[in-house]
Amino acid sequence: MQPEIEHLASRFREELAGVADERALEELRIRYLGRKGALAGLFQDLGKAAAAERPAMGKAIHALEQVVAEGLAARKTALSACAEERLPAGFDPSLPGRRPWRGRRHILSAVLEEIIDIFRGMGFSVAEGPEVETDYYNFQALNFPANHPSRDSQDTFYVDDEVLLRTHTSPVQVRYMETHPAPVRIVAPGRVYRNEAVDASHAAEFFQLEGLYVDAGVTIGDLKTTLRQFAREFFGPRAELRFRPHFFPFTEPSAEADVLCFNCGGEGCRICGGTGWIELLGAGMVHPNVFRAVGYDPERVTGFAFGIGIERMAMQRYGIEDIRLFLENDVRFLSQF
Amino acid sequence: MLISLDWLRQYVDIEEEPRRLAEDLTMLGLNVEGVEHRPNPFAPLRIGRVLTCERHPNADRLSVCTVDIGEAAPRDIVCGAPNVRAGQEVPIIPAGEPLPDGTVIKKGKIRGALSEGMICSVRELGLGAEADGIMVLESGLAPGTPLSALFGHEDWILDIDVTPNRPDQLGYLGVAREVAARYERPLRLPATEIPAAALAAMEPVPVDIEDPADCPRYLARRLRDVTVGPSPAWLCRRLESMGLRPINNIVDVTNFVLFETGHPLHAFDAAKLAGGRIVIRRARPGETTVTLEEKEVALDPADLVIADAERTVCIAGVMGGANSLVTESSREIILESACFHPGLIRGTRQRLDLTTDAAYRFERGADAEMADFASRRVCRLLAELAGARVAAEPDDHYPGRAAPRKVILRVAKVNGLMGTDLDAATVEHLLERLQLPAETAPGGLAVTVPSFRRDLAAEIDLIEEVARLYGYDRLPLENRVRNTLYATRLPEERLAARLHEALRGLGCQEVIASSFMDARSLDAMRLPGDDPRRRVVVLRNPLVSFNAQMRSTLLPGMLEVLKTNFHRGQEELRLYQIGRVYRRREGTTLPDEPVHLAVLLTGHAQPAHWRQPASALGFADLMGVVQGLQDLLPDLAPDYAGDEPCLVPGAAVHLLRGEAAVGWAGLLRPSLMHDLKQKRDVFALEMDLSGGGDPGQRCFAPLPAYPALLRDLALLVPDGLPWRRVAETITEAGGRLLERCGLFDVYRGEGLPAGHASYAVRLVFRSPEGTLTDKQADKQLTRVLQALDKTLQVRLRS
Ligand SMILES: [Zn+2]
Repeated sequence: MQPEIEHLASRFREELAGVADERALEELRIRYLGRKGALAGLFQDLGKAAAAERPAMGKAIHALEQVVAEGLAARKTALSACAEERLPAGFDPSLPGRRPWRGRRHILSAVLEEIIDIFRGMGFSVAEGPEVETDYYNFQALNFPANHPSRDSQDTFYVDDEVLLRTHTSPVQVRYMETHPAPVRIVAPGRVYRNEAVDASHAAEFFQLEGLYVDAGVTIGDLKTTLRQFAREFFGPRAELRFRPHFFPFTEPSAEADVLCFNCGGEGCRICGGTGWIELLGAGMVHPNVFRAVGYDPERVTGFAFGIGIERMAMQRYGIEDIRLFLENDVRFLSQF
Repeated sequence: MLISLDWLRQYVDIEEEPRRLAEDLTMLGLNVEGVEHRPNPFAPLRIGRVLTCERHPNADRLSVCTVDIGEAAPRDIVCGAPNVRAGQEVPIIPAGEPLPDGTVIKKGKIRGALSEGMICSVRELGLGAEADGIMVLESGLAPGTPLSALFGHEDWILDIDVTPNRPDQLGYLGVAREVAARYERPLRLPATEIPAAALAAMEPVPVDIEDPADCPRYLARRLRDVTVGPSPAWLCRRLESMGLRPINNIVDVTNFVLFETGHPLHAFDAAKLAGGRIVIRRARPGETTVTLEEKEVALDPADLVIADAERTVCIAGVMGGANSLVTESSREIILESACFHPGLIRGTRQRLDLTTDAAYRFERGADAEMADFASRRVCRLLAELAGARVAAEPDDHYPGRAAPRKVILRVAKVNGLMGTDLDAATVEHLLERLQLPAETAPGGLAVTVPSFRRDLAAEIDLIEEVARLYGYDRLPLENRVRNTLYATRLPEERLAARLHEALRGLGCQEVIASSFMDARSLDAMRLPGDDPRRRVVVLRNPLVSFNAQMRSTLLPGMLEVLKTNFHRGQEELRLYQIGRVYRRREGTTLPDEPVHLAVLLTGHAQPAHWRQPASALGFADLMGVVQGLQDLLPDLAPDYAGDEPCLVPGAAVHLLRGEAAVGWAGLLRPSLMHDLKQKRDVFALEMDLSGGGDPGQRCFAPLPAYPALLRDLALLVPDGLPWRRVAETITEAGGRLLERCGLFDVYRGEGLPAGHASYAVRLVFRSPEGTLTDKQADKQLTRVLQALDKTLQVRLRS
């Protein structure tokens, strides 16, 4: 008798697996649990069995009855869930998604913000100043004598003899120190202007970020460390900087900082002009004459200053070869960043 | 400044590879921007020995030779020269290699005989004009030796970017001094002794300096019996390496010494100087002169000139005059070696737009002490090359003579700035290498600054010298950026950051347009004469004449961006810009620079998508942006009575903050986009952000505790009655139980009386005290309907 029960159990499992809808499930239920079903048949047989076998056989039939009931119930739950989750005809998950209009920052604005954030993390606050400036703040207070060749590198737009468009963000240094006692640690972002013919690498209006840190005992080492930290955050942890002497009227000693060419790693290639280094920014220790102009005592404080060209940073990082793209504002360009 | 290494080696030994040298100089502050190799043009040629020479079987005038050029086997070469003989030593150009003029000889058969090169004549080598046969050498060098062992030279040219503070680097001696300092090698000064045999007593040159401040030194020297002629090869080579064409020995020597010493000199034909005298004076009003470039220029009384008894013969320090030029027939010259006021030379150079090697150096400041050295150097060379007799005594007028400058340098200050721990001896040694003698003095090292380093005026200048020679890269990294200074944010920064975020959320792309503006754009905007946007800042020297003014409004720049994109086929544009505008203000030197926001929308509210058709952009989309801004600026309110010249009347609002009008929003007049091919609706707004943005402390409102009751109405509203009046009436009549009223549909068309629309409005009633009953809500609703009927004659749609 026992093998017969086991056979019936395995046949039920097979049939249950083949059930595809609720109607088939009901038919299956009737075949097994109905009044004339398979289990009813077994119970009839049980009556005819020998008394000694009955307890064990009854137990086995009841176990089978339980298996069948549970199997049917589980199948029913699964089938009804499937009906709830049925998708409309023609459903296609690969059809294009719908999203609202997406706004973006202008690439320059985003890069500027990122650079400000890096310096903010090093304790630099933002300061601002006018773009239409006086000759005094743009040149004289920064140790550019009148009628001196040091002004040649700064082709200037003039409004009149005294008023001009700032050629760099450095006047903000002077304005800030005039109104704040040392120590100061600021960055001054903003637009600057040069009266230069516009081509792929020259713009008449561009963005700069000035940095200034003045305190007792600031050294060139502090400057090098700060700028190296900036380069590593902006270009990646392996960025290497080198500092070479240069001339700016308002810093001394002055330096230009180059970053190791990311393309050739210093071997020399087309991008770095064969030198292995890419000119990055100008920097130096604040000239004592600038301190005197703002009423600081150069015997008591020292400081460093630097100026970063934002377009240059963006061009370096994204491989942009024409500076005019920034002001053109073609949305196909702007939407790439 | 171009530097030929071959020339530079005259003054200092250089063992380094040219690129190594360039790198070292760059790290010393002489930024080498280019390194150019100029190979010896004779390097491809070989010395050959003619082994055999026989008549060509097919040509009487040709010979077939075998020539040993140091290779395993001799080469067959066909030669047409009559003087070729076996046993001769000759210059050979192997087939496939270039001659000095670039011509390449091909390997091939000449009348059936193989020829693997060419035996060269003097003319083919560029060494002479005659060409009646091959050149025969007598060097005794082994066959195969490159001909460059006998002729020509290899050179490297460094292009150094000299900063304006270092005029001493505008001459070979100055660069050599840096090389000597860098590698600690001796400097070899060129010879300046004039041979005694060439010296002769001569009458002095009368020199009159009108204002000593204009001319700190004027040293004149008379040279007689000069023979003007071509310069020798070595001198031509030097000038050619600088890109200069040799002219004659007099001019070439002055140019050579200019580059050698960095000091400009000028030679006059003494016979052409009226009265034989030299006057250094300012130009007379209305005076003109003709330069040696045969160009007539008008002089200004601010220009310094060299004159004779009658007229200007030279624009001082800038360019000589045609009337006193040294020519082939000159026999006696006066050599000027002077020093002029840099600012004067710069002014004249700029005014006349004449950039010359001399002016470039004088405006950066010439070394007055070098004037004598350079003059003697020229005289020595002219005695040798032009047979000149030289006045034994120069006429040296030196009103600006000054004692050498002494600067005190404190070693502690050096270390304080460099972050180093150098001792005094180390610092002294570094200075010594730069030819800056130092001695211990009270307070520090007393450094004597030589005349050729006029840029070193203060202690800080010497610190830079020490730092750059020590090496910036050796200066220790430090991190003393102390944490006692905390970064703070300006209110403007906070507002800008929030606005950028809000506008991105509204789907707008940021643009950054030019700060300059077309002068005509304000007329296109129809602004009246007294509009504040008419107070523009005008540039005196704009890049392009029509963009001569700074923008006083962001709109024209935004429209430029719009047009650029339209022309390139991008028509769905939602743009914004946050930037300064510039407006003149009476009574102040500098203009106002308020920060403005502009937004520009065109295209569709929603583009076509498979889930829905495209929906047209409307005024409501612009007002949606205004609502987005109101989240940040709660005091921002539209004023519907506003009227803005650049907007379509009726589709325009002013934006107010409190009582102040800060901007506008609306539909742009189509005339602003008249140059677009297709007409488009463009919605825009512009507002001044200088009112700040801190929204103040907001108070938390508790969430409602009781459910709301909704009542939907269909109201029949006549055209011309603004929704805001309907909304105001409902709000007022609804009382405190009316939480909100919203318009959710507007219907026009069939079933309505003409000139009316049906507004579907949802009223939300709620009480903070308890659950509202239908009765309470309906009571308020009745009041609302009565008020609408009474004040606006608006009734329910039946
Ligand atoms: Zn590279």
